[in-house]
Amino acid sequence: MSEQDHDYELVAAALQGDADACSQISNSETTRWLHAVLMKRGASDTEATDLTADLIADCFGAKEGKPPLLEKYNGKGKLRAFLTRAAINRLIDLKRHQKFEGQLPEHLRESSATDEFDLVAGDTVTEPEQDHLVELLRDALLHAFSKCDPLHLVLMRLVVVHGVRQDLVGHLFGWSQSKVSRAINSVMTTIKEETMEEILRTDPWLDLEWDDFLNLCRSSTSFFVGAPSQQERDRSNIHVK
Amino acid sequence: MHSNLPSGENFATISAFLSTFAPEVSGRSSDEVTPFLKQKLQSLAAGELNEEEARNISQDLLANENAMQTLAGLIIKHP
Repeated sequence: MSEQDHDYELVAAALQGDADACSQISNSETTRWLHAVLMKRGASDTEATDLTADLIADCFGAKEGKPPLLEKYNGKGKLRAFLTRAAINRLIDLKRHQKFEGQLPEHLRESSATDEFDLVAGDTVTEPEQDHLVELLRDALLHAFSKCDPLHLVLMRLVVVHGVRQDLVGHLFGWSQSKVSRAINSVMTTIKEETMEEILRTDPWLDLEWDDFLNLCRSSTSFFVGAPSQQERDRSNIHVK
Repeated sequence: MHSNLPSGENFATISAFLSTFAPEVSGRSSDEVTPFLKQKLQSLAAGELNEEEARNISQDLLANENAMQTLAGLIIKHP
C-alpha cells in the first residue's frame, strides 16, 4: 500500500471518529513538523504555534458551518503535503491580514468589523481556506511567462509538453541542437528568477526556495484533481457526511 | 514526455500546475485554429519563417493549445 493510500484510509477512519486515527494525525510529530514548516516559511514562533494548533483543531471539527478540513483531503497526494499547503495558506492569510491592518487608519484597527472593513479587507472569517497559495504560485508564474521570449517559450512547450525532438525543433530555423537546448534553458532560468522575484514583491516575508515552489506546484496539482468520486469513497468504505 | 533536459522536468511540473486552471486564467484556450494561423503554422513547420516572423505568432500559439498541438503534429509529420 502506498503512503497516499495509507493516508487516505487514515483520514477516512479519523473522519468516522476513530480515536487512534485522529491521534496518529494530530500527534506531536505532526505538530512539531508543521511548526517547523511554518517557521521555515517566515512565521514567528508564536504564529507557528497558534496556526498549528488551529489547523489541527480544524482538521477534525466543523467550525462556523464549515466541514472538518480533512474532508477536503482527496488522497491524491500525501497527507503531509496537504497539511503543508493548508498551513502555508493560513500563514499567507495571516500575514496579508497583518499587513492590511497595518495600513488601516488607527480608528479602524482592532474595532469590530464594519462594512468599510469588510469591503476592503476581504472576508477572512468566512473564507479561511481561500487558496492564497495557489493564487500566489499561479500569478507569479504568469508574470514570469510574460517576461520570457515568447518564441523560446513555444520551443520549450514543443519539446517538453508535446515531445518534439530538439533536433526537429532546431530544423525550423537551422539551429543546432545545442542552440535549442540553450534557448530552452534560458527560458527556465527566466521563469525561475522572475517567479521568485514576483513572490518576493507580493509577500516579502515568505521564505520560499525554488525547490519548495516546485513541490508546492506538484502538491497543488494533485489536490486540484478534486475530491474522490463516490465510487472511490465506496471502495474505501468512506461515507463522509 | 518532458525530455532529458534538466529544465524539462521543472517546466513539465509548472505546465501541469497551470493546466489545472480554466483557459481564461491560464491563458491557454482550446479555440479552433483559424485558417490564417494554420497557414502560418505550416510555413513555420516547413522552415519558411525566420525567427522574428515566428516570434510574431508565438503569443497566438501560447494562447491556444490546439495551435500548439497542430504545430507539434506538423513538425513531427514533416521533419
